[in-house]
Amino acid sequence: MALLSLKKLTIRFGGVVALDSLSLDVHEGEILSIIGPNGAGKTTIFNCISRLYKPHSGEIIFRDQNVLKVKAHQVSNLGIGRTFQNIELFTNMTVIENILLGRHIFRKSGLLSQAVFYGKTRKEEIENRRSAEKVIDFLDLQAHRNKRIGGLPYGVQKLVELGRALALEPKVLLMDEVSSGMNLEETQDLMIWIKDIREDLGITPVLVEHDMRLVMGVSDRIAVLDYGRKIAEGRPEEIQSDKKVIKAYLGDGHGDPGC
Amino acid sequence: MIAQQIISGLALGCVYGLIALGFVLIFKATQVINFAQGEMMMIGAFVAYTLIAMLHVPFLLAFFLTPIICGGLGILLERVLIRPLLRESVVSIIMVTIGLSITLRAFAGMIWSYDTLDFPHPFSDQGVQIGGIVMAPIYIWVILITVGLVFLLYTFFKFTTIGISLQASAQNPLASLLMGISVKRVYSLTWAISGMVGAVAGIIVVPISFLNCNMGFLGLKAFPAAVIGGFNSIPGAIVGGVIIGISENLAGIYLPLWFKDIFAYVIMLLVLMIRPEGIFGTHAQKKV
Amino acid sequence: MDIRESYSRDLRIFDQWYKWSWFVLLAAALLVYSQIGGYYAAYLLNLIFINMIAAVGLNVLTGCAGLISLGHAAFMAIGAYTSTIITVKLSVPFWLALPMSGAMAGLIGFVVGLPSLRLTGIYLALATMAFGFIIDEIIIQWHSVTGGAEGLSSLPPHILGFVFDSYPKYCFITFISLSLVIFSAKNLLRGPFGRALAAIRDSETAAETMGVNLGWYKTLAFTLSAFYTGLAGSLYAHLLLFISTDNFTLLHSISYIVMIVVGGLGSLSGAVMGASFITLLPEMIAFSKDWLPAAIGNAAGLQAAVYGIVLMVFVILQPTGFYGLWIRAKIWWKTFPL
Repeated sequence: MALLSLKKLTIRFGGVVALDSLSLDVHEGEILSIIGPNGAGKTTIFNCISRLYKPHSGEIIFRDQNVLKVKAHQVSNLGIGRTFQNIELFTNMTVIENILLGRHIFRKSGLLSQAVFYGKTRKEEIENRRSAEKVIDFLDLQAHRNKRIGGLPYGVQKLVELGRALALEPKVLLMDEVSSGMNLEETQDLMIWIKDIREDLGITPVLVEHDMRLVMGVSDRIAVLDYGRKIAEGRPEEIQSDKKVIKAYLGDGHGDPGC
Repeated sequence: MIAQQIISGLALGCVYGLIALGFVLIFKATQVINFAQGEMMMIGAFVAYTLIAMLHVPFLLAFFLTPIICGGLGILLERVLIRPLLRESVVSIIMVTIGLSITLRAFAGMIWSYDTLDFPHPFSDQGVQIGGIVMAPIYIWVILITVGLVFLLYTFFKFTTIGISLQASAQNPLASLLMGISVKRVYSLTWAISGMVGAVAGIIVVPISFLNCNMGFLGLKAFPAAVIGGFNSIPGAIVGGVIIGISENLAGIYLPLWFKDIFAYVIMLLVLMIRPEGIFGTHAQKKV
Repeated sequence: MDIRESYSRDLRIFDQWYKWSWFVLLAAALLVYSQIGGYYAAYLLNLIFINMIAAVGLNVLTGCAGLISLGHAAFMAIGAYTSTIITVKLSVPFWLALPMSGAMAGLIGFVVGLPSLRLTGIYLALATMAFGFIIDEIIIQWHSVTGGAEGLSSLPPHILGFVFDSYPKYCFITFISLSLVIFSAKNLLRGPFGRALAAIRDSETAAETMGVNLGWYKTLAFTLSAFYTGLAGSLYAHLLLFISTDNFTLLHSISYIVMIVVGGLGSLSGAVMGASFITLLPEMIAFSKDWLPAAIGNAAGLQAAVYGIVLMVFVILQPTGFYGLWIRAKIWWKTFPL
């Protein structure tokens, strides 16, 4: 039984079909990467799962629950976390405050108790900080803990966004181009982190990526999208030599005006 | 009786529409919300008053001089107040223009006093028979001047190089910059045009309404007009203004008189609830 | 030194014990001054405390949650009129009327918050402005209950037989109310609630992804903000002893905005500082009239002009407000090379 299952997902924007009857399964514990040329619909898949977009037809099932029946703010409760392609951090807050927001779904104290603070809320806040520190340790963000997002380098911001999603303790983590803008060293660190996320934290990562080194090095399975359709799926070795994939990325070599 | 109310409402609505037009122009080009647009109309009216009543400049000359002066004021305001805030949040920009509107109103009071003033104009307000209805020609003049101004702006935007580059800068500042369009000059020009439009509105509203430093409150009605018409639609601004003007007057007839004052805002709230983009506006969706 | 040894130290409001003593000293000094500084000083202090409460209320909505409100004077009015009407006509005791007025304002805030969920930025600003105008008009038209345009007289508050009929005595009430408001607001804002509001301000999309129910929190922000402002309104009514819609105009709504902008958007201490500054500004203007040329000094619009200029200057040159200046001063003090 797949952990996350997309069945015949279709979504249109105006006249453009962004996803065309797409079916995809994610199995628990495997690292799946979704690749494809720009505009293929990769981020659209994530946005549908997050309920930021409303698909026209199809199903999304997560642990036997119909995701399409749930509201955008309830997706994290189901156990799905995500990062954003263009970083959606809370820029006026510090790193730790951003990560603490990942603990929002675990709060138990009501408004009145929060107004008084000393008591239930204070205990919860201490617990939250403990959990947030674990994430900070995991991603080596100690140096930036109390810094405002605004002044941080791009690579660090991407990690903070990753950390914020990890604080949710999700079952599945949708990582949207986390490696973009990272240099070689950072990408190698990221590869280790992704494996640690699966092994140590028990989270199933789903990647949308452009960096082939990362994809080939870390994935168990790869799905290739083009124009909203899945054109290939399989192990990294299979995808590398798949003719359809090569054609989608590089064209078929005919009618290319000399270059 | 109703026909007269409709015509006078139409005329006042044209003024609302012109103020809304100046507001929408700035919004379209620079994403700036100019809360002081009503006060810019007020300054236009006071400048005209100074020229006509104090310096005895002939009306027609003043009619052309005032927009030029106010256009210059628009450029000055843009340079000093808005340029530093170009990439700041919506909240900051709204705050600055609110501050500007308060300051302009206070300065106007200090310079021209708090009395209600007037200036002589060639538009007769004696009733004239047109097609069985008795009305003052001043209302017709207001409508005609508005139509003329809108037509002028339309040809400017559609057919002149500057006008086209204004549109380009509004839609894509970066690409325009790369194409050699001086985006900063475009912003100045937008504020200049808004100032001019506000000035014209100020001149034509005085004969049909009043002239004192609280005129800005009249200008506040431009917001319901812009909301109804659509915040980034230029024809929408005029249409919205006219709708407000006419329905206000009709409300004055069929509903208790006190309701007339807030009628425009009630309509605005309804539109915001049902269709915030207004009639002609477009809905922008954020892409993640 | 700044080393935090435990999570509980991280959470404290003041991380060093002695900082509390500064705060207590300041409070004591203010209270003593209210008793010995004379009637006018006591009146001003009352007004400052009341405006602080209103500014804190507006700050929750506009500074923290990023929801612009140009109609906040309406919530003041609702609190003021509710309190006056139920104490005068229904003989409700003051200690009950105060929270009830807050609750009434909060209820209206809830009703306003619900439809405004779909509105952002300028649309919300305009909607709240229209709301302010409409409340104004309703008060004027509902003559039988509110006294219409002529206004309404109020009674000095009395608690358990003790009548607070002078400004110095009233300072105790306003100060205690202010303390409770600041205590609850600070706690709410440093916990999950405050973080959720800030998340909504900074990125609604990400906030939703993190499980923040936008509608619930926005409505709650409106309700809480209106509640605090309603409390301020009630205290205001029993200070002035006579209220009319002239006390709750668009200019008043704007002056609350000026308070939180000048103080520093999103900052509680900023709201407090901004409120004191703006409340004292007319006094400062009156004081400096001797140094200004007569034409400017006596102009009726001088105060409004100063408000406008102060607002513009702060937004352009010092956007983080007084709170930002305070932080800069602290850093300068810490890193002073001596």
